[in-house]
Amino acid sequence: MTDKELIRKVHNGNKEALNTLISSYYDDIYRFCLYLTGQEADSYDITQEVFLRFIKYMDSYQHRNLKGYLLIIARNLCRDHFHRRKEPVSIEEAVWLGREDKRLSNLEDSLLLHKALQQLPMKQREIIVMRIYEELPFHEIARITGCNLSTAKSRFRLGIKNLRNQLEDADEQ
Amino acid sequence: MNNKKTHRLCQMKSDAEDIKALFTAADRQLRIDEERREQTLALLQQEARSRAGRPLSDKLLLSGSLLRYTDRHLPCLHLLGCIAMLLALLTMGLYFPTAQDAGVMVFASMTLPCFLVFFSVFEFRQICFTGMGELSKTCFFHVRQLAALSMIFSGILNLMAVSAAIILVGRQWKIRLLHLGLYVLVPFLFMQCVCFGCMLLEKIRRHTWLCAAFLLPTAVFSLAAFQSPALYTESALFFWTAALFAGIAIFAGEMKLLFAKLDKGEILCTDWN
Repeated sequence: MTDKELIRKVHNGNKEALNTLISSYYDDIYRFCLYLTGQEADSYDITQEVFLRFIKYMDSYQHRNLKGYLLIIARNLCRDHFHRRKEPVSIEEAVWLGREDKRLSNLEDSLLLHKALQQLPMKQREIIVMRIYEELPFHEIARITGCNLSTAKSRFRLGIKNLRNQLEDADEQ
Repeated sequence: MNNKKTHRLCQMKSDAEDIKALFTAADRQLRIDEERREQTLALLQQEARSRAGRPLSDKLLLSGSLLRYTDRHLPCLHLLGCIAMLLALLTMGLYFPTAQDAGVMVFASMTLPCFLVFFSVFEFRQICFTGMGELSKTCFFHVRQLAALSMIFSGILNLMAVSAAIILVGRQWKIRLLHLGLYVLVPFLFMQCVCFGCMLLEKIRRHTWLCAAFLLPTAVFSLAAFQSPALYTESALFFWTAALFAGIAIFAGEMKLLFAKLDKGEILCTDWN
């Protein structure tokens, strides 16, 4: 089913289409929110709000890429979340780590990434997640974040540099 | 210098690959709570059910409301303009009734419909510059749809008026309708392209009266065509047809650009960047 058909069916209240929407995009949006916020419970709440807002404002949907559109909503909600929450997320809050894969090396890596990501400024973090994790092209990232292409690229370069420094520092410790 | 840049790019690529590997490792740690997913689905179903019951989902009702609440002043003026243009042609017909006056009537029917383009531009402007863009978030209809509707309506009115002028002049002065159609549509399309071209340029977008200045070259072109009988020969039809298709292609391209700019918010007052 194409995105266009899916939206038309969702618009008509088709149950199956809603199921498809959730099964296709829920996990991706949740992970995106989790990597941005670092908090499990808040990420679930934000993900839920993303889909509710999508349904609410579906009539004004003009984007060609549905996942891109959902990411825009998710990114904006994550930014709101950060404006409300002033203090950074602690490692203790990263309770979602180590639930599935109990291998120590993987757990260490994930903790390292989680810690390093949370140290980055939001603008760089969101671009790192979109570019490396979501593998979005820069022009799509620029559209989602509302900045121009060269700004997106320079934020990415800076983000990579900062993240590398953070990871090296953590490694030394 | 180049080596340095290449080295930096390679370093960044390798860093990106390392970070991707960390993300993959972190993904393996993740377990998504099925209960929360089901909860979201249930909420969506509830929201979708409540939306389905709203009267706004009735398309006929929506279209009716749109026609009811749309500002009808400019479209009515446009209609009056079309009627005035046809009446002007009829009145001219009283002064130039003979077959020898056919050239004058062709010149008149080439120039007069160009005035109708202004109505189309003003209708489009009204949607773009009257703050309707600010309301688009609260309205059911997107500004793009409203602009498209206005363009379709004014296009239909213009085409009907131009066709009526062609039939009127062609029949009375015994000019072949196909030929006259080409003579009338080419300058008309030229005006459309120029006026909507002005809308694409940021600096002169808000000064629509500048478009009026382009009536002069159109009139000069029509007058030159009127003075050169060679342009009305059968062999010149190829030139007219080529000009018509070129005009249609340019106009279509302009429309695409204009709507792309509308989508980006560059034309509306909603562009805050």
